[in-house]
Amino acid sequence: MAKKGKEKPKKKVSKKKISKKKVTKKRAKPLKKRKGEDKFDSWIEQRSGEFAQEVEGIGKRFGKHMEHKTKEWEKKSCDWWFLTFGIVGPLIGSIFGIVFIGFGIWLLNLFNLPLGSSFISSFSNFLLRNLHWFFVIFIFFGYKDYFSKRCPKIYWTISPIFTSVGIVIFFFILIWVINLFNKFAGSSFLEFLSGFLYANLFVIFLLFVVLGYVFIFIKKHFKCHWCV
Amino acid sequence: MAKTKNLYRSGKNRILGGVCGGIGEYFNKDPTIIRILWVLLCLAWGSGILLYLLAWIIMPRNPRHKWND
Repeated sequence: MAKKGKEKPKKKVSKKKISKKKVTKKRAKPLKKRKGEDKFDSWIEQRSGEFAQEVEGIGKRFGKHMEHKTKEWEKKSCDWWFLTFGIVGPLIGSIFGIVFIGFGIWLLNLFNLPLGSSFISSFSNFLLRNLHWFFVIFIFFGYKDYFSKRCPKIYWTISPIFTSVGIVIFFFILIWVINLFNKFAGSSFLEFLSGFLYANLFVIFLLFVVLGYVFIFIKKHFKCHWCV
Repeated sequence: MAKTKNLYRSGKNRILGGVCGGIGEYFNKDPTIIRILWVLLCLAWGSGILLYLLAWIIMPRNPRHKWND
């Protein structure tokens, strides 16, 4: 059957030969540099490089200088107290420490007035009741530092004992804080921990004394770089 | 022929770039005075800072001095 609908006439395509000439875009000619521009570019490059290098060097020098000055200042400020007050220095420092704790107790009680926390009041009562012991601790650490500076050789040989006493004091305070916290928390683990530490305070003391002397022995005989 | 004196940045007498030291050596003056004057110039809307940076870039290093970077 013949197809219905009009047939669309076919378009005649002319077969003109398309010229195959390549169309080249005209490139802009580079501008000729003026005389001396090359020299200027290289000069500015050299100067900028030198400038950047010098600024980097200045930054490093400044950093080293500040580090050195900070260390010097730290050393001077530590020695200043002992040089100024001498043997009385640790005693004065301990008095200041007690005054500071007293102020801390007063502040705690002040903050606790609106809160009414029994934990804070127990803590401040603990500090107040043991103020004389804190004074003894401050004197101990103060004279330890003093003798480490005045007689470093003698101090060095007995330093593990002093360090161990310090550690035992720390653990004693820790035990008390755990007990105080446990009054409110009621944890059996904390009770066990505080009991265990209290029972083994002397063992902890001996352990750190032995470790301290082992460390001194290694440092003296092997001169290891990682030993402080 | 008289030797022309060149303006260099000083490597011996420098705090930052040696610009004031170099100017001091050129004019045979104390570089501290030149530094004070330059600091006063910095107070004039920071022009001293810009001039210093330009001088730092433009002035060459003194080839007779040791430059440790």
